[in-house]
Parts: sequence; C-alpha cells; structure tokens
Amino acid sequence: MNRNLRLLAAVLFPILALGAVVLRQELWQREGTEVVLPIRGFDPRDLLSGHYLRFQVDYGVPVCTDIRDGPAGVCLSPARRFFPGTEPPASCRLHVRGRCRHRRFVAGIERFYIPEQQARELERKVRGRHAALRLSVSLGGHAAIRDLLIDGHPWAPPP
Amino acid sequence: MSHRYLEWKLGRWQQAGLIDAATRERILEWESAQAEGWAMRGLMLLGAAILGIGLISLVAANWARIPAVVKLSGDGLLLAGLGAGILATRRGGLWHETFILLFQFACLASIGLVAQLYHLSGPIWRALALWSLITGPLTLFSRTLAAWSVWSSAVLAALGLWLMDTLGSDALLEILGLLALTAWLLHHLAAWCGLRRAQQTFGAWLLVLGLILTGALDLSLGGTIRLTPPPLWQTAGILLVLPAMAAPWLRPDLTPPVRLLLSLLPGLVLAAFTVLTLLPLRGPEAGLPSTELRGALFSLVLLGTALAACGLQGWRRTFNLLLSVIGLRVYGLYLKALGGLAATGMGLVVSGLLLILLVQLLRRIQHRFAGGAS
Repeated sequence: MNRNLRLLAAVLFPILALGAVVLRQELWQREGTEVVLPIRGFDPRDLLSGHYLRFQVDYGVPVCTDIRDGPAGVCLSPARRFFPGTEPPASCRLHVRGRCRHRRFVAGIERFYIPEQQARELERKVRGRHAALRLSVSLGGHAAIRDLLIDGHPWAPPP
Repeated sequence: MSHRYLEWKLGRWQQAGLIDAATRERILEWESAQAEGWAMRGLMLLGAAILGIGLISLVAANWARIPAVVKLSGDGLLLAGLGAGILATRRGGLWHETFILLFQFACLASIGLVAQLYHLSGPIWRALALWSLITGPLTLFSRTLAAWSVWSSAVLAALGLWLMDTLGSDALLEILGLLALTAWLLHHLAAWCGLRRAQQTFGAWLLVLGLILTGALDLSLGGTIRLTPPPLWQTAGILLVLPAMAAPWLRPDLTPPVRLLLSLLPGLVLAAFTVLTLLPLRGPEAGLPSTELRGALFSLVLLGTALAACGLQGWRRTFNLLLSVIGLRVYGLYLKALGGLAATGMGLVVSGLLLILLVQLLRRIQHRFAGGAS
C-alpha cells in the first residue's frame, strides 16, 4: 500500500472509530427498555469533562453482598435481585450489567453531565428532592442514560 | 548545538586544515537557516497545542444551548477539516505537523464531547487508551517530538492508571516496574523500526521511570520504606524480563558490549525484586538490620552499568545525567556511612583524588596503545 493510501487510512480510522462509538450509544439509547431508577449521594465536579453530578443508583435491593470486587449484575424483571458473575439467572428477563468495586455496584451510569451555568441550581434542586434516572436498558444488560428526573419531570425544560 | 559553539568548533577545524573558509561559511549559513526554521516550527506547534487545549476547554464548558446533533456534526466537520489539511500537506513540513497535532487534540476533545453528551462514566484510562489506539496510526506519520511526546505520555498514563485500578496503589513497585519495562520495550522497538522520534520520547520516559524505580528499589532494599512485592511477581517477573533482556540484541545501532550492558539492566532489577520478595525488609522490630548499603550498592551497580553503556555508545547527555545521580548517591552514602560532614568531606576528597588519578592513568594507557593519537 503506498504512503498516501496509508495516510488516508490513518486519518479516516479515528473518525470512523468515533463515529462507531456515537452510533453504538445512539442504538443503546433508542432501542432498549425504558427503566426509571431513583438516585442518591452526590460528589463535586470534574474539570476535564465539564460539570457533572455523581451519585449512586438505588436498585431497590442490597448489592455487592456476596462479592467485594468483580463482575456482577442486578436483575430488574420480573423480580429485583443482585447476582454475582456475568450471567443473569435464567428467569431474569431484564438486567443491568456492571461490576462491584469495593462493595459498590457500578454500571457506568453513575455520572450525569450538566451545563456549567446551571450546575449549582440543579445541585440545589436535586438535594432533598426525589431524583431519578431515566435509563434505556438493552437485552444484553447495557444501561444508557436518557435523562435526569426531578420529582418525576425532566430536569431541563424542552428547548 | 549553539551558534557560538558551532563557530568555535568550525574555527578549530579550519585551523587544523580539515575545512577551508568557504566551507566554514557555507556550514554557518546553512545552520542559521535551520535554526530559524526550528524556532518558527516551535512557535507554530506551541500555537497548535494552545489551540488544542482551548478546544478541550470549550468541551468542558458545556454548550447547553446547542443541540447534541449540532455539536456532533460540528465536531465531525472539524475532524474532517483537519484530516483534509493533513492530506493536503502530505508532502510534509510545518503545516503538516501542525495539522497532525491539532487532529490529535481534536480527537481527545471528541472523546470528551461524546462522554459528555451520552453521560458516559468510567475510568479515565479507558478514554486515554481509546485515544492512543485511534491516533496511533496517524502519529506514525509525524516527524516532531511534540506529537510523539503527547502520544507516548498518553500510552504510559493509560497503562499506569489501569495498573493502579487493577493492582491497587499498594503495588507501587510493581506498577513502576511494569511502566519502566513498557517504556524499555517500546524504546527498543521504535529504534528497531527506525522511528527516531518515538525512540527519543520513549527513551526519555524510560530514563525518568528508570530513575524513579531505582530510587524506590534503593529505599526498599535499604529498609527506609516498606514496599514488598508479592511472591507472584517472581514468576511474572521472569517472564517479563526475558524479552526485556533480549530487546537490545535486536538493535543494529548498538555495539555488542553496549548490548550486553543494557541487557544486564532488567536482570539487575529482577534481582532486586527477588531479594525484596524472598527477604522482606522490615524495621528493627523484626530483628533484621536496616542498612542503606544494600540499597546504595544496588543503585550504584545499576546506574554504573547504564553509565558504562552510555559512555561506550556516546550518549553524552544521558551519561552526564547518570553521572550526576551517581555523584549524589555516593555523597549520600558517605554521609550515612561516615556519619558527619568532616569525615564525609575527607572521604570524598580521597575518593575524588583517586578517581582523577585513575582517569589520568587510563588516558596514558590509551595514549600509549594508540601510538600517541588522543
């Protein structure tokens, strides 16, 4: 392959790779089953990637009781239960895949990015109110965030 | 090389009859032109780096009012535009390098933008690893230290953060060892592939990580700090060190004695890990003496081996740096062993005189064997 073709491939590769990541996220967001889960607990901001709220998701059942660290999941339907390992129980129709880290269950949905200008106002609104995450959960157990709800309503008004 | 030094050097060559006045002037003129190009290149790349950091800051500011699809489209257009710039300047030169650097930063900004829009959370090493993977092929086309420095730093940072996440911050020695080993292997691989800038940047990281690792092992062996690798390291260490010892032998630019000396270095580090694993050093409460001599001996042997390799291969800057570090370590050792400034001073004076006499003796021997040639 001559140098020009190789250079073209080297330039296209990151663009296509990022495009694939965006496409994958869009599919996960649009095609999964919608689930609403309450959240609790907040930490301050990350300067590199904007402002975000950090929280714990309340799955309604104790998590990471059997294991401290390692892959795990939470079955959401028909009944909620925590399970260690990568495979959900046979009876489980919908589950969230994640892992236990120091007895905390993380599924990649523990942060929500918020605009710099509205960070403090949103933080004030969320503390002491009923806050929840609207998620899209795929058949494979991947959870993608669709929206943050405060008292059952989207945190931001429609544009 | 500074212009004044070059003028002085050329003057000496002219006096020795090696070059004539016209050649001297042509060399000086050519070097002046290169120097100007070098300065402009540096400024352009600085501008590109600042622009790139600005892009990342813009992502961090959260453009609340702009819909996600517009942000993504704008980002795609920016990447496409920079990619087109790279292709348009494919013959090389300052603009080509600037576009490559900007494209690298734009990719990092894009990853941040995607994470922000889709609320992705996860360890930062993942983002760095993804960025390293997707920009790696393009970095191969760069001829500047800037692009390679950014890329090599991201690779090692991603590896370091992943190791800390996996092994825990208690495994500091193992993490340092694995990072230094990675830098070592990538440095030699780059040399073997003829990627000079990659070789330089990984070589610089190897020097930094190597010195830190040497210091940590020195302090651990001497009992000053307590960093004990687990027994599993022993098996993993042997498997990892073997390719490290073989790496210098693949390089045709190194002479056999230098290859031999360099291949000893990973072995010495493994030996230090072995000692720490089999003879965990604790404080006096375990009944074991803590002595700085063990640590100093390790440091001096390791650094001395590296110093010899640098001297034989002609790597002057690294040689001078290692010599300074050895000097500091010797001073510290004397201070500890002789227990006071006066005694240390006497010891150092005697050692310094012996070293000067030894060098003079070696020069005479070399002169005699060379038949009078210096």
